[in-house]
Amino acid sequence: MVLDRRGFVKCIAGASAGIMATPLPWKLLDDVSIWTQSWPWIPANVRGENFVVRVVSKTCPSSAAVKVRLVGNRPVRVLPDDDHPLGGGVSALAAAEVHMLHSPARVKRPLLRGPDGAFMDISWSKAAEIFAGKLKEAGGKSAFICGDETGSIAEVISALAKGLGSEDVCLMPSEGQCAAKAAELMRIPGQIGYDLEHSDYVFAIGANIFESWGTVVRNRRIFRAATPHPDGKTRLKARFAYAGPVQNNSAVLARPWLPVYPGMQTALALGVANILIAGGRTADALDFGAFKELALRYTPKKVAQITGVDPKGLESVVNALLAAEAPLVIVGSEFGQGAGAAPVMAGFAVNALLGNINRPGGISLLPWDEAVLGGASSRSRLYANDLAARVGDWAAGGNAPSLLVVHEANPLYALPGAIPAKQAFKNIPFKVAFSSFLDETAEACNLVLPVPMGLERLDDVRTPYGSGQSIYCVSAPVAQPSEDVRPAADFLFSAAKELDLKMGAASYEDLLKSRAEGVVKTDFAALLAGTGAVSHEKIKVPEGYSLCPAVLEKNLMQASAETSFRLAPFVKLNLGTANTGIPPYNTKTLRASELEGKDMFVMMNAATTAKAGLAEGDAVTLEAGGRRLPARLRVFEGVMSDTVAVCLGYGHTALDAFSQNKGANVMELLSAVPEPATGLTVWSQAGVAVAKA
Amino acid sequence: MEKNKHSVNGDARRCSCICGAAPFFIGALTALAFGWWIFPDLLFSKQPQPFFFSHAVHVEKVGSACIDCHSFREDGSFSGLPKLAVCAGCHGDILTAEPDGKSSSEERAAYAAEKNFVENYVEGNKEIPWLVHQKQPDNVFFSHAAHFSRCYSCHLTMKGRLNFGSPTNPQKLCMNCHLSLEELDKNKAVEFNALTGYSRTTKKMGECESCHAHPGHFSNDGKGRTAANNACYTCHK
Repeated sequence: MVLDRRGFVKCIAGASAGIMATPLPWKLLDDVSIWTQSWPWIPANVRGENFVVRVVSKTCPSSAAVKVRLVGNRPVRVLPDDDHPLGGGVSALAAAEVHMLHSPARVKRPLLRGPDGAFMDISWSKAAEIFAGKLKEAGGKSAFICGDETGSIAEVISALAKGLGSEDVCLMPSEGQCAAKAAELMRIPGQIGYDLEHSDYVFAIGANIFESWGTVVRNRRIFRAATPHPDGKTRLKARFAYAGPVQNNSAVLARPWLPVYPGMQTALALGVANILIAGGRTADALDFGAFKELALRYTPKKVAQITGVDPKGLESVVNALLAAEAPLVIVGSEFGQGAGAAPVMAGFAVNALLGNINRPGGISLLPWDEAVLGGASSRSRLYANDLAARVGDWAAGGNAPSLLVVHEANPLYALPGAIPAKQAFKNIPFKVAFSSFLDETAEACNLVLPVPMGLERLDDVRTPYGSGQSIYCVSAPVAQPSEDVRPAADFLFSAAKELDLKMGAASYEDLLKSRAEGVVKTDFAALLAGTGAVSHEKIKVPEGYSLCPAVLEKNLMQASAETSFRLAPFVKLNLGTANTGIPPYNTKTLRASELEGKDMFVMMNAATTAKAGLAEGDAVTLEAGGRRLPARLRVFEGVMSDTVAVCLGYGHTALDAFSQNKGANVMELLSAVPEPATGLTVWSQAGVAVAKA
Repeated sequence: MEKNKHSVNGDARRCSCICGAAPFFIGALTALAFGWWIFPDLLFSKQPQPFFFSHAVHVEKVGSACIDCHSFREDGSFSGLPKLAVCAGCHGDILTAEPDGKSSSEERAAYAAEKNFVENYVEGNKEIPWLVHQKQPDNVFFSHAAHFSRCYSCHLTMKGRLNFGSPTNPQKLCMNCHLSLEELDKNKAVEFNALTGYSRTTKKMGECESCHAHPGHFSNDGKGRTAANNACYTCHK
């Protein structure tokens, strides 16, 4: 046999036929298709040892205690910490914290605004030199805004300001501030706490306890433990009722939900007090007689006219409160701010009538934590400074400081539109922002100093508002900072040293140790391991405490604006805070009925929609105080009549592509007025006009 | 004569036909041999495990269950390969009796393997660089916890080959994807594909779908859930 040309072709034909009967072509085809997916730029999982670290979130306003799972040295996931008094779940914001470490909105290095108005990178030594120089130059004409009400950083800022001769240190407005003002006026020398753990009936008026009021994650844990699961293994331990204008997370879990007009918490609480007093309940307050006289005027019928609440529904809730062994009434803002002190006072009065002050399941009067640094103001003292009023003064020009230092706060986005914060900023020659993210306020500053996020720094949490017991937590850093950042506290300590100011501690760690071991009397190492130090100490109910009927009456007399509809802002934690913007990964949690493209939806019920001559999906304009907001309309029956519900958290002009120009900022529409008799600036009642765009 | 001539011509034609087809068959047979026997050896490189570990001894003689070493973490995630500390919990010292003249070759091998482990890894505090037969691609999220609980919710009570054993010793469930004890005890080298980088026994999507796309798993449990969801996002996050 000779292999000629014909034979060779036959051999090739045979080989071709034979190879098709082997796995070779098919396996190669499959493997090549897989190989084409393995490009070097496709990120690969980085594997490593798994371990878990306990921390308390400094990003989530609920101070959620969580566990962070790390792979190697990288935080990858946030998990619930069921054994911590502030834990037991994860909020949508705390869950996003590990992703936000890599957010494109993070400030990567110190920035200084150049002569052309653009930011330029500078070194930390240059930043320290500029900062110390500006502090020295401004001296007592320095002002400070702190966005962290529970951390000891507020104390560091306060000590520095005191050393410079300034009293201008303000915390961002919060529920805690309103409660502190209420306590001060009621002559209660402590922090108002809520013992949800031991209550068997909770009636929340306005306070959205599962999304924006107090210790949200703890509140949810307590509700979960007290409520039957469909598996039938848990028996009902506590009931929960809610009154508010929007069917929010609290309303959907409440039995019943009482729809009311927004900003009507004081009147509604007085309606509850009316029924209780009519039933013979009393309180041992100094001015109970005057309070009784006021409350008896707020009959269920009158309260129904003012608040829109169903009188029968209200009476059934009060009957349930009376039948409960440990009833608790929580009154607060529907969106976590701006409600003032009067609703807290009215709520305190109702609890006093229920006889639950300093009783299990009732109101707890907790001692204020005192300042550790010599010369620093305590938290209760800092709450007394009203930022909104100060900003108004600065805008008027007369008392504008020479230097403003903003720490982890975004007042240009978070304050109501009626407060001329932008004008105030223009009147201040030099502004410094300590921020992890390049937000609206940081963009308006001259010097931006990047700070580590909560997971990257040593920090602490002192009894957050809403907690039923005093608690002190220290959060150790779990990750190396991914950017060129410095902790604000350490930077301030260095600046104070540069200026020869005595701070009373060598470093922030030194301060936290002093608080842990000297004040809280707890082992610092144990706190670093994530164990919160709990104290059940309560202050006695003062004999001469007041229910402030005169303050309540003045507030009830305050007429709301003459407009067609009422505005009901509400909070969803997945949209982040004013500081963070919308966490990148949380954009996928936004439904098409909340945000479509760049249009956000506002909600009205069908009757209100018809009354306004509008229809589902219409492009609308909301107008209040001469300020306008574009939106689209969604018809939703979970909104009170004559009310427009608008979600907070949209309309950022700074930060990153995940937050910028998505919807509009409802804060722009809110008017701010001084609360009668307390002087605290409030913005919980706003009228709004709705028209087709 | 004529007849003989025809016969000679016929034989020649037959011979010519066979000889003519031979190159075809030679080519075909060569290709078959290459495709079936030579190509796999070229495609896969073999890498031995650091040392021999007998799963069978641990399961059958010591009574260990899979989840004793390949455990779930507190958060429900799967730990995968045990760390050195887990092994050292028992093998801090050599447990196997030192072989003597009567010892079998298996006993000698077992002693040698444990001695090597204790001296080189435990005493040196060195993690064992095991090679994984079934490491999944990064674009696949495989939850052991979900499979452990969901598969068992039905297969614990099923009969015959569909019964996956008990949750405390879930060998049958594990062996649906992993090598059997017998195969593991052959101390086979792990074979890695030169093109893809994955091991030969890495699961293909079709194998996942043998359960996920199985008609028997489409039945709804009354709460809108099927026994094994086959949506893309179930595995590809």
